[in-house]
Amino acid sequence: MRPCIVGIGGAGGSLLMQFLHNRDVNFAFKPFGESLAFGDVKGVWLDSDQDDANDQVFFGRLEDGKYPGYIISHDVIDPNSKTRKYIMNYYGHDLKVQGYDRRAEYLKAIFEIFEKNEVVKNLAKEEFNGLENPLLSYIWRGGLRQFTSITATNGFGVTENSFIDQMKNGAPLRSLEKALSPIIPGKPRKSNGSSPSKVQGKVCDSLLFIASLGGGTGTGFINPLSRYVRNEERAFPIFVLGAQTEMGKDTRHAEEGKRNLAATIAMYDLLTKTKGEGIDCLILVDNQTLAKRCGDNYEAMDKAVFEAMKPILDPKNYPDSFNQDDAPALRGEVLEGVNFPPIFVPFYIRRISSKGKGGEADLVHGALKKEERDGRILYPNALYPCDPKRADMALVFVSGFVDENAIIDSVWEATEAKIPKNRINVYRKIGDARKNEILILLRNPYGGVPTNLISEDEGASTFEERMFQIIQSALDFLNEEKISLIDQADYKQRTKDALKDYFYGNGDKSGLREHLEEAIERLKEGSKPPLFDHPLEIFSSEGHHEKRQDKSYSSRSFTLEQREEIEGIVRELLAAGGSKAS
Amino acid sequence: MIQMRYEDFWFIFAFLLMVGAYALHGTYLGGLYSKLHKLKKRDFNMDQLCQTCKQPQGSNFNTLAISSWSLLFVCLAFLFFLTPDIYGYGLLKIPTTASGELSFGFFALVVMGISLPFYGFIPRIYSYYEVPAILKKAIFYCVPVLLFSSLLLSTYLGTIYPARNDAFWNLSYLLMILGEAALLLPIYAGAGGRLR
Repeated sequence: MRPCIVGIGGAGGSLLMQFLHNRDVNFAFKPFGESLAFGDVKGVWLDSDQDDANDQVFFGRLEDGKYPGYIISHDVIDPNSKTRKYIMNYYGHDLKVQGYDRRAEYLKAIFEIFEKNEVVKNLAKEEFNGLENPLLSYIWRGGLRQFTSITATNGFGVTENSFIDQMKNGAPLRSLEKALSPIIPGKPRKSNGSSPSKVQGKVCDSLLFIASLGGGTGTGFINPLSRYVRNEERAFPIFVLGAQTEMGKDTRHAEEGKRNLAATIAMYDLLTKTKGEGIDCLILVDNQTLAKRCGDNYEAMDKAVFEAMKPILDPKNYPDSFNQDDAPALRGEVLEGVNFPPIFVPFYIRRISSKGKGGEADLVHGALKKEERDGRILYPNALYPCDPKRADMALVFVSGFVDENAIIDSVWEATEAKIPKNRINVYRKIGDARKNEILILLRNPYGGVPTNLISEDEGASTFEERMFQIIQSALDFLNEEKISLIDQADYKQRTKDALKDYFYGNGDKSGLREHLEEAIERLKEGSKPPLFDHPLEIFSSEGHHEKRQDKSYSSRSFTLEQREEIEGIVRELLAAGGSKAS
Repeated sequence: MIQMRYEDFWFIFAFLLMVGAYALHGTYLGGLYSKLHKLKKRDFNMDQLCQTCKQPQGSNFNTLAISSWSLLFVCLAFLFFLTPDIYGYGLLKIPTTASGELSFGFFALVVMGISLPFYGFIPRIYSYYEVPAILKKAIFYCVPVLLFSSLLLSTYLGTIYPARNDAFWNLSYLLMILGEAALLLPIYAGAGGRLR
């Protein structure tokens, strides 16, 4: 697969740097020429803090035609924007808030406002040339889409009927028109040296969002942005790599409970979309696990994540399986047999190449190796705590001269036959001479076994325990910080009321707190996925949601199959109408 | 028994180094095909293998590699065919070209022109190998320096002709062969490592 990788926020940006590290040579003092990343992936950094963007040199401003580039999400909003003023006066939310405000519900609320408030939509349409959601439109259509296969151009610009042309046709934006002119077809994009250059390579077949779960910008943006892109592109593969923040206070002294609440809200929103409505899967890595391995060295942690993900991006497939792992094929596999986005946990190991038979078993058993420590079973090569035997599917990306059946047998043995062989998919890569590496992605490795969850300061050994730590911490924060969550100085009364209902419910017991308590009960009972069962909104126009009976369907939207059927009928009607006219 | 001259030996050595790399490259692809064929799920041909094996090395590296190879051929030509000392013929044997002010530059251009068809293969061959970053940097920074130094020494030897300086000739050759070895190292290391 060749994704356009979108790093959101500080952590997303740091991780993205690893993925976009230029594999071409360059002068140390003055880089020039084209940028070439491993697997020929492309990437964009999305942030909401201009100071953070100014404090680094790797990313240039995408608007200025630089690559690798960054977008500041609210740059499209003029400080004197009518839309901004209305939202501030009506709700108390500022469209130009900096991302370090660790309130995930803040950004969630902003995007819901654009979806639900007709006055806001009309103001935005008037101000932004017909676009109802300028923030997300700017990010997607003006930033990310051009790198993907959706854009039918010469690879550098956008189509004639595109967002850019709309904006150029009289959009009263501060700098966007001038800034986006380098992105029109045919014009080269500047590298972050002085010489103009092009983005080399092919277009991307998917999106991979990278964000921290528990941070600021990443946690807040990930769901609205992925949902917006999904609404625009029904079948385009969208994957998320989420890095769970570690325990304790972070560098900005944000409390663990607050961060875990933000992480929980982000995961909740991501995982309660039905198939085809949101992301296609969530790959989880745990900074707590990585911190133990890398000694709190963030750069080493980022590198470890990148190394683990490399087998997915490695373009050197076996010649008999050339397109085995192109993104649409992978999307089909990850969604096989589920009605909701699944969670994947990576296991990774790298070994010096070994000759002779038995190498496959060594690799698999090495990756899924378990250790006993203080009476607990731990898996040291997992990037998130979990028990592999509880997974319902395995995607295995392996490089070297390996036999597929031997890999399948080894995984089946290592998981004690809990994963059926027909649910173990192997993607073989040629790799390089010196080493073999294997990445095993285990789908939904939780449930099936009742568990007595213990809240410990550290050392979660299963997915359930780690989730319990996060969700319980979020619940504790919800219960302790009621006032500070709702009674922010900038919020208007309607916002405070909506947040109170969202967090705590209103008699019908359908607030976030209640749903999280239910999630913990499901973890204890060993219920199989999904972990969270019901989407929640802050500004629900219909009041509170009743718990839906059918977990497969959202109460207010069609499934993917229904949408496709409707689209088919519409196309037929249009074709029939067209032939009558002629 | 034909006695090989000292210079003949080094010329053949430089040539064999290139031929050896090319042969190893072919063997590598053949070996890779054979190993993957044993593990195949369905049939594939060599073209498909070549297509999947290729990975871009970057435009800067490719440009530098092509320039370095072109410089290498010029260095070889200057070392062995600038003066008639070694083979009895050379640029300086031809009076009309020998006396020209730009004759050396012209000679270099002719050599580059003759070796032009070869340059298209260079990025393709390198694309089959994982070239470590450190080796790329070594090729980027060191190889041009080595080859230019060799070229300067050969040019000097051409200007002092018919006088000779064996020490300078040896040094020029050493610098050239080090540059050639660095350019061929991705193939020897990559193919050799895989075929172990």
